[in-house]
Amino acid sequence: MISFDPQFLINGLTTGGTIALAAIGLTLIFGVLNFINFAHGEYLTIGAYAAFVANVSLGLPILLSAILAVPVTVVFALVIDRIVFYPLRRQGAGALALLITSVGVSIVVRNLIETIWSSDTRRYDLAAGEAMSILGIRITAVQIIILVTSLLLMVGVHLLLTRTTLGVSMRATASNQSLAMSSGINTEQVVRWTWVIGAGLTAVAGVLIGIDTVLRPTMGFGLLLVMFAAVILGGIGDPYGAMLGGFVIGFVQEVSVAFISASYKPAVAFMIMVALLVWKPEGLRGGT
Amino acid sequence: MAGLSDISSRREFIKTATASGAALTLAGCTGESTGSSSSETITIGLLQPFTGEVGWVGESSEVAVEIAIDEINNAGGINGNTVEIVAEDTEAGQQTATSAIRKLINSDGASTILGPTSFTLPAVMGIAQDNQVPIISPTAGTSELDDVGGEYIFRTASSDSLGGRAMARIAEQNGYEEIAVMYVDNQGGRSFGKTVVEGFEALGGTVTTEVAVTPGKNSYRSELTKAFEGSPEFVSLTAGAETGSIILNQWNEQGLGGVWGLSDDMQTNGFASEMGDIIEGSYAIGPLSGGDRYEEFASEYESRAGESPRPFTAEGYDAMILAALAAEAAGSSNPAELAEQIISVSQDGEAVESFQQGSNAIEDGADINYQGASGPVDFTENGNIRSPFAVVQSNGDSWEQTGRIEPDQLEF
Amino acid sequence: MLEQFSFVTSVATVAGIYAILAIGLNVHWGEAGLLNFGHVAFFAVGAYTSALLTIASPSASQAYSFGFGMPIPVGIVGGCIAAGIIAFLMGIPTLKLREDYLAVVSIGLAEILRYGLMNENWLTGGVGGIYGIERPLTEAIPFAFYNLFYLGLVLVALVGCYLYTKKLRRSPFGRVLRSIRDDEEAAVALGKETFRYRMQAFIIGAVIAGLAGSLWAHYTTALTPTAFATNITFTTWVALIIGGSGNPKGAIAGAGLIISFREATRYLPDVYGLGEIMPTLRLIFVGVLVIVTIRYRPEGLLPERNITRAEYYNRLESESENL
Repeated sequence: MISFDPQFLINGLTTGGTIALAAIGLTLIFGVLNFINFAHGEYLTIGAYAAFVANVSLGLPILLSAILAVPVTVVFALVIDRIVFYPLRRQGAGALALLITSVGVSIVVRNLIETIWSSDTRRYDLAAGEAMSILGIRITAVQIIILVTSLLLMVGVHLLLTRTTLGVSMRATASNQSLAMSSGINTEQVVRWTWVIGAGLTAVAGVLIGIDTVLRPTMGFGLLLVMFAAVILGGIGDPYGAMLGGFVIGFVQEVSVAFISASYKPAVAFMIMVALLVWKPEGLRGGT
Repeated sequence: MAGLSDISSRREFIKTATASGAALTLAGCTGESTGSSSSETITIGLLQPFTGEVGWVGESSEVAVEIAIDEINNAGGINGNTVEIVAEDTEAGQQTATSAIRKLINSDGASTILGPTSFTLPAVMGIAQDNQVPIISPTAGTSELDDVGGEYIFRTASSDSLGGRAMARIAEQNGYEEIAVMYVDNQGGRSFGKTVVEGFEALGGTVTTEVAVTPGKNSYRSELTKAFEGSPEFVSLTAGAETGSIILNQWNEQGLGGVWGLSDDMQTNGFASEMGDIIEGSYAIGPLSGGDRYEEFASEYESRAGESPRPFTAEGYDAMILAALAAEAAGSSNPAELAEQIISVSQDGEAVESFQQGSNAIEDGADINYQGASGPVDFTENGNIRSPFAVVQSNGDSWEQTGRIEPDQLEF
Repeated sequence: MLEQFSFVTSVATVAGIYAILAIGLNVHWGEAGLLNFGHVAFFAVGAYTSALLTIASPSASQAYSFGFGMPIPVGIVGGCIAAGIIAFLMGIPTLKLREDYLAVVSIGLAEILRYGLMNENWLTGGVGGIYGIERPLTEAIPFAFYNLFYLGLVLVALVGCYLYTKKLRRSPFGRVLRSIRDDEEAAVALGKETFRYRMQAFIIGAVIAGLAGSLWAHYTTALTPTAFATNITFTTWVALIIGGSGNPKGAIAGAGLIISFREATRYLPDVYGLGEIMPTLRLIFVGVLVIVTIRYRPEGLLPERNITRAEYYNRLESESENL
């Protein structure tokens, strides 16, 4: 046993923040569209690389690049939905057809990115940061930005879901699509906005990860299972659950290094997910 | 990476030439190059990863082998025959490597296979042995292979069991008593990392923590926290350049202190200048660059690739020359006969320093001892080499040799 | 001439092993409607078990501790049994879940297994893995014909699995299984214990995958955990989808196609300087193929007999429509 170092807490919270952002998107899409989107990780990657093009290839400052990455990713997500998923939905295809198709989409997008930018890791054009020491815990400016951004965006999502018509419609559609349609909610519009918000949040997560560490074509796909774990932990379709789930998973992963071999670290998230699905499939918050 | 993009056109050429060659062979069934006499082309198989995280290994070794081949062909070829290489990508994966090596041996008629890496060599060893085709790997360092070679399996790269000890020696020589060891969790990393641990403890030092990391992740902060828990003075890191750069950047950001001992993949001048001040003063082990031979090779490499030689390239060059000299000594390019001469041309005899020299000496009936660009390359009976190592340190921009470790300093 | 033929033989052998894997997966998905994305786990267990049972006792420098030196048939049977046991253990918690959850959980479990393979050196040789695995009958068969012999072995196994699963489909067990797949509520109403049927199908498919794994181990003679990553599962899935799921013939056709495609693209001359990106292009093509197949011909190349597209779409419906 190794003594608990509060450093792990900070590491866990920052890792968790990005996972949480991406997980919110995944859970919203699942809630409204009712299929598990295996291509979800690719939105993260697209977001990160879009910012890379803006920042490194075009020379724009990082903040602007991050902001630009969002609409780029959203457009991609909408286009992919229109060309690939929407026709299947119209044909009446079920969740499983969409799932398998999304696997195909994820393979295509990931390898397209690798074709263009190769599998080498890439970095944004940023000065290297030094960590500050607060109360004996080291934290970098970037980590603070990640935490603040994640929290702000989550608050934004909360406000959206509770205070706007759109948000209410989204929740209604998520819980009962046919009833929502019959009460006059334009479900296709809700679907479109779900993609916008879901893909947008995930794109931001991608840029944050890229700023904090590096970019590679598999960055999103590599986190996919972890995102699933967060979503399941929080209860599918529940955005607040996804936020909680993301933080918990991130935290547990980082802290686990203290107790078990670091080479099992990625497996930790999977173990949590499997255990949950078996014993409490409705997640920590117990049902949508 | 800029220089290596020139290579793609070279690969294009080779692949086109190969494919048309293959097509002709398939059509006319005349692909048997395992004969003797008349002027024919001798094929050497280059089996390395060309894609993925370690794709640079294949690309850079191709440049090195081509330097050797041009030298050989300019000197009249092997036994009067031209040499060409056929390259196949292992993708650092077993299944791919297995079918690739079968293609090289069966379809292309390779007389010798150069490569592959530690990830795939165990998987393809058996195939080469069954087909009686020698493999000379310039990159596979895993200590698992220490006892298996000598008949068909040879390595011009030092085994990790020696490299790891050299690293432990460096730490000891510089007076460090407590070290930590970090390594990536794969064949190359474990084999080197664990040897450092054992070696350092055998020298009487203490290893405060041993941390295995998963490659390909974005953040290693927690692993770093764990590694630096006991405040080690020196940390040995065995990792690929990409993983290593993430770890080192985050170490720097956290201000954790200590000195690093870095592994082969990070021992390029490109890495040193990219990391700059962050790794100033760090140690690594490298090829002895004092020799003229290495300098000759390095400048030729640089003119072709636009950057200084990457790890294992000099070893690749030497592997090719050794294969060629073995074929000369055997008087044929038949793989089994070639294999028998490999150990003998590498040690115990008249010292020669180039293919031309070696070829001439063999013609005069002498027993030769090839001295390579990467070191003396003397094979033991198990197909391993025991070379001295150079101790290098980063000056913030490149690696400079600051010391040397002899093979007998590695016995403890 | 025999040498070029040898290369084709080796491609055919790999395709054959994938075909066996695909047949096993077909029992899961085609017959029982189980969305198993962790198929590689059974493959890995079969391979490692057969390897450990047949390999000689390890020397001191080897990482792994066990080697029982048994004859190869024992290894192969052992591999199948081990895969079946793992399926049973994995199935208990997961087969009650709805299909898309099973997909996610099965990947998770397969990955956990792979991490176990990488770390538990005493059992599996860890990252370095195991090499020097025995091949059957190396003394009896002349060297030049050995690869052909092994291909024959794989084909025999393939035909065996094919005939077995065909029989399974026609049997009462198979019929009940398909009825559960198509309409679980009705099956339950008729008093069928759906869980038991699913478990049996799960184990059968796993045993077949374990057989593929054992054959693979004795073919490559070396195993490392990195060889058992999720891309094997995905390749098998792609083979099944494109070849035609719900249909063992489709499984074989799909595997043959995908593997030949993969190997054939190695031979392509380097037109337009595409050589470097060929691997990713290949994968993009495969991904597009999957998308297009599901959209325009979801039943695959060789569809299940007597099934209409509407029925097939029904099959692709998830159980629950609402959340």
